[in-house]
Amino acid sequence: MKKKIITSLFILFTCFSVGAVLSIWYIHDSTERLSRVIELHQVENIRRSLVLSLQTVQADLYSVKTGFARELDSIIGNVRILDKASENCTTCHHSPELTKNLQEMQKLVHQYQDYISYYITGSANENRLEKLKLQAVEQGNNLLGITQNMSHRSSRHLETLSKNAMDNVNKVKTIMFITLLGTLLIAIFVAVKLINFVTYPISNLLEATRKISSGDFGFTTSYRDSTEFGELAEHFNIMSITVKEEYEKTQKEIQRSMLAEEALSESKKRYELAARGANDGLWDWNIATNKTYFSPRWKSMLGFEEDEVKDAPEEWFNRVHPDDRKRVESEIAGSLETPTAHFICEYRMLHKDGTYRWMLSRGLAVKNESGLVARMAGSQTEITERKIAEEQLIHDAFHDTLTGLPNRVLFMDRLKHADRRAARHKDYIFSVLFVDLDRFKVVNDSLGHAIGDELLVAVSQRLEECLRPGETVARLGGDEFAILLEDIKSNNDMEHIINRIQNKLEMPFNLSGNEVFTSASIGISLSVAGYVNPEHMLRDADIAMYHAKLNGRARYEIFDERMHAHVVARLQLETDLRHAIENHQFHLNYQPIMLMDTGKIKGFEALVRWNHPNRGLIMPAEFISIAEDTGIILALGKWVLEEACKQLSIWQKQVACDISMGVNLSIKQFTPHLVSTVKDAILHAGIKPESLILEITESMIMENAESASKLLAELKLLNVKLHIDDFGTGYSSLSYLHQFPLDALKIDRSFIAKIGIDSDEKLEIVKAIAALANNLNLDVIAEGVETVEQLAHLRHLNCKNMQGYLFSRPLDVESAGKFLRQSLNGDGESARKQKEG
Amino acid sequence: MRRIKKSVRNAGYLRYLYLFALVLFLFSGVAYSSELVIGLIPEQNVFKQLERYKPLGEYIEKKTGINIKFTMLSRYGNIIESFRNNKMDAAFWGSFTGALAVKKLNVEFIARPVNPDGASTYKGYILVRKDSGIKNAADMKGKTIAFVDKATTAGYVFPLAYFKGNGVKNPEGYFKEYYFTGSHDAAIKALLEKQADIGCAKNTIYEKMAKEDPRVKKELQIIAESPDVPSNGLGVRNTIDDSIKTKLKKTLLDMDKDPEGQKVLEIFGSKNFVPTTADDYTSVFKLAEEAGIDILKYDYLNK
Repeated sequence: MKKKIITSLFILFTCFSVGAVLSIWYIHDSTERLSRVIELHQVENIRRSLVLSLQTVQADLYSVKTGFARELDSIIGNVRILDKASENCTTCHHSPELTKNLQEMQKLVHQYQDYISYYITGSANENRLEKLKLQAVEQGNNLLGITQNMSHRSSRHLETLSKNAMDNVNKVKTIMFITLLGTLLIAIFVAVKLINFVTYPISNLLEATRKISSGDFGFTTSYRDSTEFGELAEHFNIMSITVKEEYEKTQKEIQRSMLAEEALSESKKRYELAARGANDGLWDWNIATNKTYFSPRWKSMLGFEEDEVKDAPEEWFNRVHPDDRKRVESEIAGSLETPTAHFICEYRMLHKDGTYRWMLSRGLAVKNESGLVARMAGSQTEITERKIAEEQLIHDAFHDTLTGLPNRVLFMDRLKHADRRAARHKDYIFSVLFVDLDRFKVVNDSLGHAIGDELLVAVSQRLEECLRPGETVARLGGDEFAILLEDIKSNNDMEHIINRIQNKLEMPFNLSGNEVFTSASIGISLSVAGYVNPEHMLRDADIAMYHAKLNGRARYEIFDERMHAHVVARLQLETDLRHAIENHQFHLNYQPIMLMDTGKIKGFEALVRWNHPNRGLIMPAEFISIAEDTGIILALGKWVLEEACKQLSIWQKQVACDISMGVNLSIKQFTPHLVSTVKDAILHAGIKPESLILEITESMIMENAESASKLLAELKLLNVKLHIDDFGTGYSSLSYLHQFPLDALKIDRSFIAKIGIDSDEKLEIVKAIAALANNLNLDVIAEGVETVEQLAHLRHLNCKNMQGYLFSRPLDVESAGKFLRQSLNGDGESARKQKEG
Repeated sequence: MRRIKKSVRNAGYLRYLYLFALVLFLFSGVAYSSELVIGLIPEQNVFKQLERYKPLGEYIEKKTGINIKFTMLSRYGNIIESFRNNKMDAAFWGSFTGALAVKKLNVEFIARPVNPDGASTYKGYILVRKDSGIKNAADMKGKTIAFVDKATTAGYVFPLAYFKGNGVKNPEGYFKEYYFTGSHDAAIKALLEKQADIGCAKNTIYEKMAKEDPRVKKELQIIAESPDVPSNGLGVRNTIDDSIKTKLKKTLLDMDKDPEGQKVLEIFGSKNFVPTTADDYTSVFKLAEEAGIDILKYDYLNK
């Protein structure tokens, strides 16, 4: 193929070259001839001007000595033109012969000039002058002849030259035409041939290329031949397959890298978002250059603009609080030494506004290829608020929110401190004061909790005022305070402080316009007692305080072992009490209530007794409060109610008479649940509800008059009787009393006992109560009637129901049954006798 | 005619000057420009003479900014007439015409050329053909003599003095024929072509022709030679502005120091220019006296 193309082109080139060379040769020749012709034409012109000049000068020569003479300068000008013309002639290209002729001619011209000059300047007789003139004229004519002759000859030569040149031009035309025509024919032939050779495989490959460019990778062409096109087709097919394979490979590669990039960008975004979300500042310390990048957030955290902080690490360290700096530096140094360890540090940094802010910085050192630590980067978070909150939390954890005093936890901590010191120093003595306000509940109940709180705050202030620096007063809760007195030198010391406390607290408080009085009971425990556990000191102070309360309040007691024993005993009792019901250690006694009109029994009041296996019989006064404190009262109360109802049912059946049964209720039982308990007991025993008397105290209903009123109404719906027990001892609002569905008042035994002994004062009270009951249409029952005198007085007051030793002690079940029967069968007198007997 | 622009110095004359300039313009019909017309005497072939001076004129033009126009004279004596008729502002004076100018015209001399041999003077020769057998003035009787011009030192005044010195009181009648060739080379040429037996010419032209034509030394003999007279120097009308005179003088005197000027001098056939004054013409006056010529009354026109 290549050979064919080369050969074709070579033939074409040769044909053209031959024509071109011939043409060029002839053209060159013609050009030479033509330029010669042109040149000769110029020479002809020059010669013509030479002839003209000569004629001019000749004319001058004839006229110079006449009146028509030109000026000499003008003649000189003409001669110069002649001179120039002759010079021009000699400079043209001529044959050597001609050149010689021309030079000769120029010489003649110069001679001619001489002759003219001589003639012009000469002054002599006419003959001589004429001679001179003729000499010049002859010379001029001679010159003219030569020139014209030469001109004639050259004209002929010129003609011949022109004809030859034109012949040559015609020849060139013919050669050019033949060459062009021949070349064109050969070119057409070659082109047709080449097109046939090239077009088919090209269009074949072109089609294949189109397929590939339209995405059909791997397309192969079926074209085969032995020329370069065949080879091209073969390689094309290989290339196409390779392209397909590579394309698929690249496609996969791109997909993989796109996924990786996506993941990277996602991770970047996530990190950015996290950093932004966390509002963290970032830093990146290049150890090698000792330059640090601080992110804009890092700077703004400290109140700086972007360009106000340079990239030196000192920008960081110099702002760290002097107290924290050593710690930060050592943390960083540690992290640089062991790059796997995270650097985490909390410290304060100087803000632009001059305050210090808490920062939490976290970072990690990174090693380079050579294993050296190259950089360290991390984040910085402002934790000032967290720190403040932490401090607040810590403060709150150790302080009472109301008064701001240390709480029990902190107090115990201080106590332990003191205890440890005491262990080191033998003569170091400290004590714990347990302060409880007297009658705080009353203030709370009467003036409200807000005033109660105010009182607590005021008291805490006064307590603090009483102490020496370093001593601790803590609020343990409610109205309980604890004071730690340290390094006590003598009893006087301590008493002095205690007196001061009590004096201070007894001074009136002005709380929101209310004048409030209070006092404190104080229990004291001393370290000299040799406590192992500081907790016990507080416990013992509490016990001592309890005793101070027992002993009349507004006083202090120093703890001793007996107090402890008392408490231990009480605790034991509490434990025993828990098992008393299931062990059937309780039983009921019944005290008869007499009706004065008939002198016969009206009913009983059920009284619980605890038959303790070790201590024998225990009265309610000793264990009811414990039962109330421990919650046993609910089970106990239920048992009492059921037992009493059951016994009443038995008795009512025996005597066929509607005697009543009074049951005492504890304040703890006074809940809505009570209604169903009472109902169940009645139903279970099968008694008439109106024969059951529930005895409640004033404080039970007055504590929460509203809910009590509701509960009492519900109980009343059961048709049970409701009596106020111990009337006169508690706090009663007479205005409320008539709103409750009450049936009777029981006058407390303390009023009855004093009748006839003290004065008439108590009698007056009893009288007033009786009158009140009468007015409210309530029955009155007098308790604790022991003497005949009392009986007489009460009779006089028209008190119809009585209870007391005068009639009968509380009796066990059998005795009570016997008393019942005798009373109903006999008269009141016999019953009293039996009792006396 | 004066064509030198005069600068206006006084406002008082302004009006008159304008009027004068207008008149000049109307009558002359020539543009009011700075042009200096210098006359040349036909020392040799007039065409060659002009060719010789042309480069010098162009050089002065270039250096001074003054337009130089040469005008060729067909007679030596015409130079006096032409100068008087205001046709020329300056001329390269022959020694005798120079002497006439000193006496008759107010001419101020500027500079004169120095020959290649170092002399700023020339002298006149009386020449004869060797084959004529003439040895002295006595032998010349009845011969044909070719003078140059009545107004030349070498070509007339010196021969006249020579004849007077040798007892020839009046050349008229002593010679068979005498005539004036008008130029020195023509005189020598006349000898060579046997038109004359005796010829008079200046030595510089003699030497120049001797170089071109070997016949000069071969066929001619020098019978007598004159004392030195100053070479053809430039003299200007003394009414010309001093600044122009100074410019001309400086240009000519400094020519040999300038490479371009050196080239021009070479064509001109001189080494350099030297200053010249009226005093330099003493030798000419003396020679004229010897020749019995009263310069003031002398009829210098050829007959």
